[in-house]
Order: sequence, then structure tokens, then C-alpha cells
Amino acid sequence: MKNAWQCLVWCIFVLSLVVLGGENQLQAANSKQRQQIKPAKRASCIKCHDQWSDILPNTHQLVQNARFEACMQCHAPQGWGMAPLNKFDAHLHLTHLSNKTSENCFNCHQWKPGAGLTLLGVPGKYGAFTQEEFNALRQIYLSAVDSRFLDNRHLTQGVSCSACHANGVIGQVRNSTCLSCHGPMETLVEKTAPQQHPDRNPHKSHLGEIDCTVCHMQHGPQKIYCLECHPKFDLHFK
Amino acid sequence: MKEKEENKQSGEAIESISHPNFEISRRAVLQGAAALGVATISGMALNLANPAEAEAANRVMPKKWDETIDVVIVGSGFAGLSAAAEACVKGSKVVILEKRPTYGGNSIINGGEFNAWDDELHLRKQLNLGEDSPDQHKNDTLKGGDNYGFPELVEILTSKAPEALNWMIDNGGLKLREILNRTGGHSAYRTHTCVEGVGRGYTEAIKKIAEGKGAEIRLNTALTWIWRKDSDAQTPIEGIEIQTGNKTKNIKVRKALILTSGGFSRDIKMRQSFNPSIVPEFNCTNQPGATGEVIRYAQAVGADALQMAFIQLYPYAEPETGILDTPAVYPFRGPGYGIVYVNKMGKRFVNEMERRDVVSMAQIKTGAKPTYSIFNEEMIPKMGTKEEVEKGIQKGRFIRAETLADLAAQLQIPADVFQETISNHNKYLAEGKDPEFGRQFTKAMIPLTNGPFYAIAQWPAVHHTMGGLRIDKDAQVIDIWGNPIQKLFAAGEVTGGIHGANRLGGNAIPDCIVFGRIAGVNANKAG
Ligand SMILES: Cc1cc2nc3c(=O)[nH]c(=O)nc-3n(C[C@H](O)[C@H](O)[C@H](O)COP(=O)(O)OP(=O)(O)OC[C@H]3O[C@@H](n4cnc5c(N)ncnc54)[C@H](O)[C@@H]3O)c2cc1C
Repeated sequence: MKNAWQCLVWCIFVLSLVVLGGENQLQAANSKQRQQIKPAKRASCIKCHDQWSDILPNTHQLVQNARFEACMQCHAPQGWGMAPLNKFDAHLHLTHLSNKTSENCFNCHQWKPGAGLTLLGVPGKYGAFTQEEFNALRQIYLSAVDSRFLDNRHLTQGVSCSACHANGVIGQVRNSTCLSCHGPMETLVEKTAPQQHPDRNPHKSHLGEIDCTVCHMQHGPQKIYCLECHPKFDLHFK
Repeated sequence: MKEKEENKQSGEAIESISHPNFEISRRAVLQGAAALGVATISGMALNLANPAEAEAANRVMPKKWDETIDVVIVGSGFAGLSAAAEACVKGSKVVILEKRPTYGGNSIINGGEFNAWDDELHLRKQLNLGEDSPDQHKNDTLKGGDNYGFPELVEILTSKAPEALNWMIDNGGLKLREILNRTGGHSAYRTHTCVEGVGRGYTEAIKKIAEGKGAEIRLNTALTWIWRKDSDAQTPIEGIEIQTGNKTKNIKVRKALILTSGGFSRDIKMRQSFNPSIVPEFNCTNQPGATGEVIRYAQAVGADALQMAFIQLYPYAEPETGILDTPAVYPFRGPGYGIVYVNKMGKRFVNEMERRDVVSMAQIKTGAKPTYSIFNEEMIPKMGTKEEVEKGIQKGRFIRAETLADLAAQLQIPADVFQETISNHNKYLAEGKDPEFGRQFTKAMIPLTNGPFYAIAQWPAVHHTMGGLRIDKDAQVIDIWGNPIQKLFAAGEVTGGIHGANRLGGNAIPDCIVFGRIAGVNANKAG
């Protein structure tokens, strides 16, 4: 139970980072709102890391303030996708969750069933999650930091959850989202064109356009859907 | 020490919810709750199934509904898509549930053959292929099913088939090949083929119509139960239980539930329980989701099912895997143009104009797998396209040879017997009489005199389940007492009583679309 809450906090943190992106959120971050936030509800690295400036990468510019508000001035997520600054979100979660030392989501995040996830002390929110959804998020985050699935590959490349699940929408990701980094479809079709039997191309099947996630599952093992009916096809993941 | 601090933090986090941002989301949550509908129902749910089966454990009516939908359709093949297209009227929420991660069921992988006695292009007249009528199509269908089909249902299928075809052409962008085939069991050239040469040509057209009108398809979502309180004729369907991943939801069905979940050819236990001769060793042409649970759910709330033992073998499937790929449709299209079937001894073994059940049994009786279809270059444009045949050759499906002797050598069948068989058949065709098997020759048939010659291996695989839920002409599901079950409809392969003992090839698409549309129209009047 305690674990669950901790995870929630962490998820919230990541999510909030994402939420902060986009024009609306930037507007919400005006100074008036910022003043309303009580100091006690502000999250800051210094709570756990006394020498917090030591944990910054060598190349990081000097920062006076360890509060997330300050971080967000540069690291506000850039919407979704591979924006370089989104790596901050992925990196923080990876480092805090993979060693399992700080799984309490609420160290940094704030959330209540049915509400959006926020980053303590920073305006803006991500999604609106029920308890069940939040538990799922937490579980997926904890698994993704060291899973052998594609979610881990994305995370370690700096692609955070929100990069695909924009606006806190959990559930199946649309092809257009995948293709915004991996597309266009034509290049994938070309890449996987079999030399011998051109019409056995998994990216151009007789089923028409199917969801990327039919084969490329993120939070579980990938599978080759074609093989369910064509067990003899010579197809495998690279 | 640190842990304590963390706890304190989380405690605070939960309490401190009065930030303006939260106000908005709390309101959103309340609205969401209102939309779910708060009507509560309680008590035991009707369940006539065997309670010893896990699938049918005792059920208690859900206390609340997670969602309300006007028309829920189960299955995203021809029948489901057609029902959805018609059920979409202004202000009506129409959702198709599909348990597989892709839409289309058996429909999207099907052979693309659609029987209609006419069409808006009037292909039969244009190609000068003789006469046909709705009655002739009806009589062939009834006869082909040994008169087990209900004439009033068959009449609807055959009379409305052209309209269904034209609907897809006009509203869905369907394109037809300019060919028309006379296929097994049919007495006329009425088998149309879409340009794609597979069912996707039709499913995409209907999907376009349905989605254009606002229907939604939910993939990875299975029907797992139907909620009905008792079996009184006046008691309607209340709702359904569905499952996505490991999440279960209860849905209130406001107007109607339409079952279009297809056949059960892939349900090995079920098919053998109704027809012991359909042993597990048979291959199957169907997609993996062609299982029969929806029929059982419907039976558990009082629905009647009939003719469940009638299960069809497709005679021309790929012998090793049972797949019905593009090449495997050629032996089916070919009889009207003179294709010849031979066994491993190089001999004919059946009248090629025969129905699927007859051809399949004749093959099994040859005792040697596989048998072959033989055709020549001249027949290709009548049955399909040169491009398809070339692709099939590359895959090793079609075999090509300049001479009959060479073809026999490649097939490893006795060349002398094979050549004699073909020259006899050529002679019968010229004389218009087949003393061996009584083939009904027509003017459109081509003798196998000029090469190159082609062969394709073929063997029966389980293909179609003619039996299923009992429906009336309005596509209402009928209960075991003979009354329609309120708010419950069905169409397509999940139903029984149309094709009788044996479905004629190319009759399933019109069946699914015609009755799917009827179900969709009537579902809207039901709520
Ligand atoms: C390979 C092949 C070739 C064929 N060729 C022809 C042809 O050329 N001409 C012709 O007329 N007929 C042909 N047929 C027959 C015809 O395609 C089928 O009878 C027809 O597609 C059935 O359509 P349907 O809409 O009833 O069901 P389907 O298209 O099978 O769709 C039913 C859907 O319901 C889903 N479903 C099942 N249970 C559940 C559940 N519990 N919850 C949610 N979803 C569920 C299934 O996954 C499936 O997607 C062919 C069949 C096959 C297999």
C-alpha cells in the first residue's frame, strides 16, 4: 500500500513535467499562481540530496535553487515526442526508480483519485486518473525502468511516458504518434521488404493499415501477428 | 528518518487538494459519473447454461453500469460493419466490439467472391454470359443446401444481393473486376470479384460507410456475457459484460445488441461436439478468433440455435496449412471456364461443377493427398489476373509447364494417364457430354489444348459453419419457445438456417451484408 503511494508520487512527477509543456501550461505558470503555492507544497531536490548540486551533470550550468519550479524554467517538457528537453523527465524517473530507493511518487508529485497529476510547487497537471489507473501507471513505470520490453528502450533513449501518451491519455497509442518519430510508413515498408516474397511485408499486410502496437507492444513482449495464421513465414524482430 | 519524512509528504499530498487546478478536474469527474448512468439492477441474471462450465458460472446482475451505448454490435466483419452503418442515425451511439487486435474477422481475409444475379454495371449482360434471376439464385441456394435453408430467408438474401453490392459501390467506393464466374453449385454466371481479389475490398468499403456515419470500432474488446433477467418473452436484453485486457466492464444497451461474431470453424471442441466427423486433424481456413462462445452466451439467455452439425469443408485449401490464399480461390473460380480436377493418379475424380461438400468428400475418398486443379494460360484473365498467377508461381503455389507431360513430371503423377485424362475431357467438352461424371458444359468453357499449362495443389479444410442462432426475417434472435428476444439481433455466419446443409461459394458475403443491414435498421426501432 505504501509502495503504491510512493509510485504514484513518482508517476505524478514525470507526468507533471509533461504537463508543463505547451502554451496553456506556460500561461498557467504566471507569477500570480506561483505565489499562491505554499512553501510546504513545493518539491525540491534538497529534501533528499543535501549536496544537490553534486548530482547535477558536470556540464550543467550553476543553479541557485533546487526547486522544481526552477528546473522547469529550462526543462519544461516540449509537448510530446523526442524533444531533447523531454529527456529530463525520462532520466529523473530512471535514476530514481531503477535503484528502487525512492519509489514514493509523492515526494515530488501530488494527486488524488480522479484528479490530474501535478509536480509539487509547479502549476499545470497531467491527465485525470482513477486509483486503478494510477496504480497501473505506477506499476508500468516501475517495470519499465528495467524491463526487457520496448518501454525500457524508449525510456533509456530519453522518451518518457508522456512522449507517447500525450495529455495523460492511457491506453493504446495511435499509429500517427509512433510514426512521428519512426515514420513515414513508406520507409518502414521499404526497410522490411522481403527479397523473395515482396507481398510478405509485415508493414504492408493484406489486413490494410493495422495498429503498430498489434506487434510492437511496449509494456509486454512483442509478437509477430502474421505468424498466427502463417506459421511458416520467416519473420523475426531485429 | 527519511522514510518518515516521505510518509509525511505523501500524507500532505493527499490532503492538499484545494488548488484551483483540482477544482476543474473534480467537476470533470462528477460529470463523468453522471454520464455513467446510476440506474441499479440487482438479483440473479438469467443463465440457462450448464453451471458446471466456468464460462457459465452463476451470475449476478451488475449493480451499476459503467457505460451506456445505444447499439452494441459484436464482431467487425461484413455483418457487423453493415449493421453499424445502418444503425448509425442522428444522435445514436453505435459501437462495434472486436476481440482481436485487428478488425475484419474472416471477412477481411475472404476470397472476395460475391453472388448477385445482377449489379448496377450489368456485368452478365455486358460479358454475354446468359440469363439469371433472383429466383434462379434462390433455387440454386436452396438446392445446394439440400433444402434445409428457410426459403423466406434465402429469398431475402438473393433478392437484396444486387442492392447490397450497389450500396458498397455507390457509398463505399467498392470497385469490381470486369469478370463474372460460374462457380460450384450455381446454374448461372453470378459470382462477382472485387478489384482487390480479397474480402478487404468489401470490408474497407463498408467500414468507410459506417465510420463516416459515426460508428466506433473498439479493438481488443470481447463480449463475455449477455445480461437478461429472465426468459419471459417480454424481457429484453439489459446489457453486456465486456473485457479489454484484464479489465471488465458492464455496458447498458439502450436500443439493441446485434450479434455478428461469425462462425465457429476454429472452435475444435465445439465443432466436433456437433459433428463428430470434423476431427481435430482437419486444417482450417479461418482466422484464430472464429470460435463459438457468443453462440453459447446467447443460448444461456434463451436463444435458439439450429443446424449446428452442418460444417463445410473448403475443397481447395493449401494442403499443408489449410490456408485459403489468393491462389486457392482459382480452383473455385475455374469450373465455369473449364478447369479440371485430377488426383495423384492423374485421373478426374468428380464433376468439377459440384458443390463443395461433394468435391471435398470425393477428394478424401481418393485416399491420397493432395489433388490438383489444372488450367491453361487462356483461362487466367477469366478467373483472375496474370500478376496474381506470377506471384503464386514465385511462392511455389502454382506450377507452370509448357506441355502436359512436363506438368505431370513436375507434379510427379503418371504422365500417360494424365495426358489421356485431359484429352478425354477435351473431347467431352467438344461433344458437349461428359460420360464419366456428367459435367454440365457451357459455351464459355475453354479446352486444355494450348499451353502453357498450370496446376495447383488442393485439399479440404474446415471452412464454414452453416448452423447458428435462429433468426427471423427481421434478423431478430428467436428464443427456444419461438418468440423473438427483445432487443437482440443477429446476422452473418453466427446465424443458422439460411445456407442449409451446404453453403454455396460466394453466398456468405451477400448473406452477411443483407442481414447485417436489416439488423442495423431494426435495431434502431427496438429501443
Ligand atoms: C479464407 C476465407 C475465404 C472466404 N471466401 C469467401 C468468398 O469468397 N465469398 C463468400 O461469400 N464467403 C467467403 N467466405 C465466408 C465468409 O467470409 C464468412 O462467412 C464471413 O466473412 C462471415 O462474416 P461475419 O461478419 O459473419 O463474421 P466475421 O467476418 O468472421 O467477423 C466476426 C468477428 O467477430 C469477432 N468475435 C467473435 N467472438 C467475439 C467476442 N466474444 N467478442 C468480440 N468479438 C468477437 C471475431 O473475432 C471476428 O472478427 C470465406 C471465408 C474464409 C475464412
